[in-house]
Amino acid sequence: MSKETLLLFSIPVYIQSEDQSNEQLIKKVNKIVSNLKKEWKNAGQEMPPEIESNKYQYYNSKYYTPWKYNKVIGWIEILYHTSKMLIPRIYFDERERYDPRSNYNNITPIFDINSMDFQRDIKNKTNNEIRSIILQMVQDAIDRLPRDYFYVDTEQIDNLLSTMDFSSL
Amino acid sequence: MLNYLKRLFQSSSNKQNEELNEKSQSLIENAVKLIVMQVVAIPKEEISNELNTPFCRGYIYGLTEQLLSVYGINSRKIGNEELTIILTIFIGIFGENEGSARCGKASKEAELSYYKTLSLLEAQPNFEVVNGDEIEEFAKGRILGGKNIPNFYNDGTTPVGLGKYLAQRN
Repeated sequence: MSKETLLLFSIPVYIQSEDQSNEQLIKKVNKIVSNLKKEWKNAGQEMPPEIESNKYQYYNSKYYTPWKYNKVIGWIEILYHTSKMLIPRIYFDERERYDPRSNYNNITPIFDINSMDFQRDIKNKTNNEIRSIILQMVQDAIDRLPRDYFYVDTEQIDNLLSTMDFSSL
Repeated sequence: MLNYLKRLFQSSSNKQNEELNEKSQSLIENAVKLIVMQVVAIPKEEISNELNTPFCRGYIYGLTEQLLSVYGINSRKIGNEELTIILTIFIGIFGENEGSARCGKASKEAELSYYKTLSLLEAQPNFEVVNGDEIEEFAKGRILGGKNIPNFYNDGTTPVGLGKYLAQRN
């Protein structure tokens, strides 16, 4: 990064949202329980209702892990250039499987400061205007992520931006 | 006690908690409505006795569990906050005196039912089921309560599981 650019934000891109992770778990649990039901049926008995009513609680305790959704697979960065320009950059791990022990250097950029199309001018813009420009940049970056289910917490960014004063830039 | 619980929900001030409180209160109101409308044919003084069965407690518990998931409050586990919501619903149905006792009983039955699940799935040796039939009834009610909610939100089918059970029993 040159002296003329300043990193404003690094926004994590997660492998999936918590809701998606929960949905997957629910599907998995339902599959396991329907197989169990078949086993009981094959044995000539009906599956006890306790198993059905406690299935999520039981399998949550067995299979749930926050790592399933809390896994960062890339970063969206917003840089500020002294020529009053905002520049987005996406770093993303191109490998299918992301190694949690790998460091930031192993992640390759998808597009960076050289791509002029994504840069935005913030000359003579108010705080609110800059805020909506950044949100739009983040949304554009999200649209360019390689998978639909990758998740970025835009609400958190919105909350953060509402507390910031860009006039001193 | 109901007022105390309402105050508890209203006490926190930040935006996220306010949203959560609104959700919780809406959930509680809806759950009480959905259950009370099924027992509207029963005289008020008899409701408490009629609903004093493991099946009914299970139904209320299961319905609330499913609503918690629908409202996005928590779809993974029943913690303190979720238990407070369940307690408030029981109080809303049975009144301040009996509601908390019924909720305590339902929680105990849910706990025993979970232990029974553990014993069935993991064959834990030192487990004894107390009142096994009651726990089974509770589980049946809980499943039915849980099943009624998605139908209500998907195609508007009014939950009638509890009403049907009471009608068949009488």
